[in-house]
Amino acid sequence: MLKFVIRRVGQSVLTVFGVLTAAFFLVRLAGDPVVLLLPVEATEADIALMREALGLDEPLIVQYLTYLRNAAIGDLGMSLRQQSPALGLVLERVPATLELALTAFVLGIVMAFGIGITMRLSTSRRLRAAILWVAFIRQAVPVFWFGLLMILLFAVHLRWLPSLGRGGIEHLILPALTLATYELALYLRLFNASLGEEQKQDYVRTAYAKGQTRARVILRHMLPNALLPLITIAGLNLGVLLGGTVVTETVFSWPGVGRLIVQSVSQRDYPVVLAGVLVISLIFVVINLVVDLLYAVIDPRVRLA
Amino acid sequence: MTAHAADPAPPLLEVRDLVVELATPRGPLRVVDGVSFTVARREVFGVVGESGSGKSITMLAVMGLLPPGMRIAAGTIRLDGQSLPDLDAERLRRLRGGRMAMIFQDPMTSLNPVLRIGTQIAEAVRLHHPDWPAARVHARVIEVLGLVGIPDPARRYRQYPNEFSGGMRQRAMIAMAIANEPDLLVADEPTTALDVTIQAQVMAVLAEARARTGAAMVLITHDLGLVAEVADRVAVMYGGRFMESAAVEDLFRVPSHPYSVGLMASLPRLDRQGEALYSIPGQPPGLADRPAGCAFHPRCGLSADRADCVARVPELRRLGAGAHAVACHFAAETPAWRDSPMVHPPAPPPAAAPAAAARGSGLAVRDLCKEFRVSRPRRWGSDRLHAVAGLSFTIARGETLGLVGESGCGKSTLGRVILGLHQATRGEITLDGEDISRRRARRHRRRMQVVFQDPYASLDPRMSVFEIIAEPLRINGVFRAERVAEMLAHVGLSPDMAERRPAEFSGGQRQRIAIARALALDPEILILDEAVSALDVSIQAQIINLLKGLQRRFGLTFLFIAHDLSVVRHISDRVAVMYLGRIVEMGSREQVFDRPAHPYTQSLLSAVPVADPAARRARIILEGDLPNPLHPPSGCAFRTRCFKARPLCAEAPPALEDRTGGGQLTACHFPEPGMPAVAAMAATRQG
Amino acid sequence: MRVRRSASLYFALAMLFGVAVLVAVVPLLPVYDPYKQDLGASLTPPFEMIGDRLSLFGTDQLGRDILSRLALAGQVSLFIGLATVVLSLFIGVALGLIAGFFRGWPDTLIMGLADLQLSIPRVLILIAVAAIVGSTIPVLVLLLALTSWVAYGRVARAMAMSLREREFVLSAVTQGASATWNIRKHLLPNVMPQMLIVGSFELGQVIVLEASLSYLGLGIQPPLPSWGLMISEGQSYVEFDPWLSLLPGICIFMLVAGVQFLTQAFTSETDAEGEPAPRPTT
Repeated sequence: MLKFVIRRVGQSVLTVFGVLTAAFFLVRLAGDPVVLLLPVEATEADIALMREALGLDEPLIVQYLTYLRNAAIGDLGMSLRQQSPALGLVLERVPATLELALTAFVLGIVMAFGIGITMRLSTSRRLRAAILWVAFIRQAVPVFWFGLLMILLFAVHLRWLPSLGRGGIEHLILPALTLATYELALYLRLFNASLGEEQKQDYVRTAYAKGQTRARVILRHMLPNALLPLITIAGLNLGVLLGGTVVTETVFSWPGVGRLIVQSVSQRDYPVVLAGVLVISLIFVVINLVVDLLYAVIDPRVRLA
Repeated sequence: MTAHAADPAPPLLEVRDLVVELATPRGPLRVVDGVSFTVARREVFGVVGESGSGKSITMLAVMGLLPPGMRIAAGTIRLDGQSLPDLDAERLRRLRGGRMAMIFQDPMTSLNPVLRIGTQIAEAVRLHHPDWPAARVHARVIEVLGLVGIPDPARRYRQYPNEFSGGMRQRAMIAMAIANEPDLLVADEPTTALDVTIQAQVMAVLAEARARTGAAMVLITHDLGLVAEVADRVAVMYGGRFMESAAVEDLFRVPSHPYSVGLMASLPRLDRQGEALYSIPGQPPGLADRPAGCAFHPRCGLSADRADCVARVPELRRLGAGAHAVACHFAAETPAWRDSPMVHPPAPPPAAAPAAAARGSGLAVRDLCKEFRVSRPRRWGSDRLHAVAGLSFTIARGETLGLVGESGCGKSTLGRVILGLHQATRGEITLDGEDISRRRARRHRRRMQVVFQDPYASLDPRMSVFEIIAEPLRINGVFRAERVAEMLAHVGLSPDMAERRPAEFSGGQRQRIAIARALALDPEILILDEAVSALDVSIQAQIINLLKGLQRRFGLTFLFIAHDLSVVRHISDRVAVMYLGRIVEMGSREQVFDRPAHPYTQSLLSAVPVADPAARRARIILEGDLPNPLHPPSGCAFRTRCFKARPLCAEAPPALEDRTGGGQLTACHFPEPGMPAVAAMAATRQG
Repeated sequence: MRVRRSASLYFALAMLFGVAVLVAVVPLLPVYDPYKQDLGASLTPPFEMIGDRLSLFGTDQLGRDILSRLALAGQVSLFIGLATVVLSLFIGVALGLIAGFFRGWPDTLIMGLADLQLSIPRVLILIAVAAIVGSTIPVLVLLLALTSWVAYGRVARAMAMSLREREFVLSAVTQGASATWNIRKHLLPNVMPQMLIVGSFELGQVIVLEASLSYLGLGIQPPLPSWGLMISEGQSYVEFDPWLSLLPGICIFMLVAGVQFLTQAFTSETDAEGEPAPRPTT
């Protein structure tokens, strides 16, 4: 187990390092970083000053090492539009993003769990087919358009909920539901497929041969096995969720990292864009690490291997 | 035991005219087609049949565990007089695991991987004794774990299935089945997935458990030897029907259905040496194309397509006054046919060995080693696994060397190293004196070809049969369409099959295609890696006969790798026995099978069930499992399970040398040729 | 592969037929002109007359014909989607087979790259790169393909790893087959059907991604229309002229749902159950 933890943590560190490296070379490959990193109206003098400040006259490898060292102490450069460190601007927005993403994640997984087990326990094939259909339909609707439909229905027509911004719980409902229903659709399908796969296993027949009831076979025997692939996919899919957050934040003007990134793109504030991408990647890497460790706790095959 | 009908006590299980149907888009198909039998208390009733005969489905129907799409369409099932199909689901559920319990074939997949062994057995106990306190349930689980011979049950209780070996898992399955002292135990191929020494252990445990609980047992198997040793009465099943049903002695002494006769005549025997096997022609029918009339008539050696056989389904009728019943219109003719040369084909002329020997010295392996690096679980670093640990042997031209051993002994690895699929760590492989173990020796590769075990994985599902056989020719730039047709003819397939894909063929036919592909390049040596192990008995005999015929015709040299000792005895000239990467005994087949000198060979031979209920044999039951091959015991690797082990065995590894005279090589410090009669073995007639 | 004649199939065909009519037939209509502005007729609701002709789907804030713009946008979306799928399938299969067949350092390298990509949300990679490099159609296709090859690569690698141990590959090796031979003759034909299934799932994903990027202003650049961009432009008018963002959304839905349900009809998700049958009624 210790070996597994060490190896897995090492892998995560390597990933973060890889992301940092990719970001560095992306900026270099795209052309003169100074042009990217300075506002369009910058003067020649500004450019020269920037060059020196960034150490661009140094060899590439030295620049790279400097960049890594700065990144390690949390220095990801200054915002071009606001006179403050890019990382600080991003970190200010992290709570809003986490609030939205985690609410949606928990909402999605809890609903998927409840509905998934219910539909497996029920003997009605029609019910199961109907639920899967709805899940399929929901998956075909892009997050941003679904958000728009929600605004149209609940904010514009019914006037039950606010459509924009962050505030009390009523502000959270629409964006969280928009994201959560997408998650729900995906998890439901996975959960159903995974339970269906378990149902074919020999140990299920053994459990029935013991005289176990159908409900107990599903809950005690199949469920723990079916959860394992679901955890993996849920972990990987957090990337999609966090990506969805970027879009959702824009639709609902939610002041999170995603909206900051999109705004910074239109303002050509690249240090902030990169800082935002790095921070979200870091969050994602950490969550995936936790998921994998969780997996090992549940599955004796991984724990003992 | 016999004549159950005359028994005044009502039978424990009574099945009458059972019909099980599978729903398909084109209407229902009969999987089980009118089966009747009874099982008395404490009796062992064997159901023998090849795959697809409906034997497992019959018993799943009794248990109420039919797979989806199948249903009981007609017939009655009574357990102790109570009609099971009439029970509601809840009451039937309470019988399952309580009064009737089932043991399944594959212990690897039949236990839930994420639950502790003890928990899974406790579940069975608790279900049928809801009022028991936890401590009592726990005590009962420990008790049954001990009963099935699982050492240290308190610790094992807390382990997960992946910490159990195959044999231990099957013991746990048995513990689960007997935990509630059932009246009826259904064992569906309980040892098919296990090695023969482990099978002997498990069958002994099963016998012990039945003796303690008094359960009757229905044993479903394809293994005629196993039923001969274990069952009191036997039914032979084919095409969803019972062909014959009799007391075990009668069935094996005077088989009276042409199918039973054919099965027995096509079975290679460990206890005698026959030159040719009878082979039932054709393939067992699929569910959708079972013939009308007698299901067996297209393959029957007696029927000759007589009108009755084609048109009328024969009833299972008593022969004389006893319980021996046969479903054949012409059962009266069977005895004459049974003893005719049709069923006992004469030995073919011996191969032209001298001429073959003149062509070269054959295959020689010297001091061959293959190590794998295995990374350690839970710790850093890796260990060396000595899969093949210093082997030397030769196979002369035109000869067959049989290589036997249980799973994990390294026999398949050896085959792959010789083929060049694995690079040897050390040692030398020469073909007619030329070293072929180097990478550069690729051009020699085509002189050796291989046939693998799994007929389904052997052929690329996306290629036509023509393309499959043409592939080796194309790779080597010698493609000729006529050559493909020629190869098809050699293996007994018609040329019009060439455009079909593997999915359209049965296991036996696929194995023929694989043999045709292997022979396409005209190799000198064929490595047969469990090439007939996955086949049903009747098909296995066809393929063995085909291989022997091809060997004679082309002067082929065989390395025949197998775990089935009977088949090895039948096909080999010389035999090598492997244990943990080493050869422990090697000699002519008569030497190894009739005068084994190594205790491991002796144990193996004694563990194989023989299809002759009259034979009362001493059985050596080895203790424990195969040691971890990563950390083999010091000295002689077999000493931890050996009934002869003495201090010397732990100190010095015995070399493989001629210790008994006559050219028989044995790696044992204390070799004694012949089956031993020592106290360490139990004289068993299980049942 | 067997198609089940299910409700999914008919639903999929209906959706895809709708999209096909939009992108193939509408451009043939006389009213087709996706670029012509007419500020006098801006924000005309659907089914109203503009002068003497019927405006079927209305006009946008610049008075451009929405039906024409939807059709052109559909062509663009389909082109990007299909081009991306073909390109990423090619990259993914090639890298996956190499990694799975050869193992060793190529495997470590390729799968390391895949893990790295998977550890950054795809949208973020696209945003970051599109923001810095810019977003013309070829760049978009390349970007989308480079971020979606992993789906094919992982499946292809897993299949290659199991196929290379299969007996028919081993026996070809003993007959002298090279790695290229085995990859070409055995691995590729056995991997492709599964890849096409992955591809059809990915097609929907890619179309949604492109729409999302365009919605964020990082995808298709005006004046070229794109469904995502049209939704974004229409969002400001959502309260009074909701059709501006509803119609393009419906188009995306029809295309994506059509593709998804079609795939589902080919693969079957709601399969048989391994439960004991209910007790029979003789």
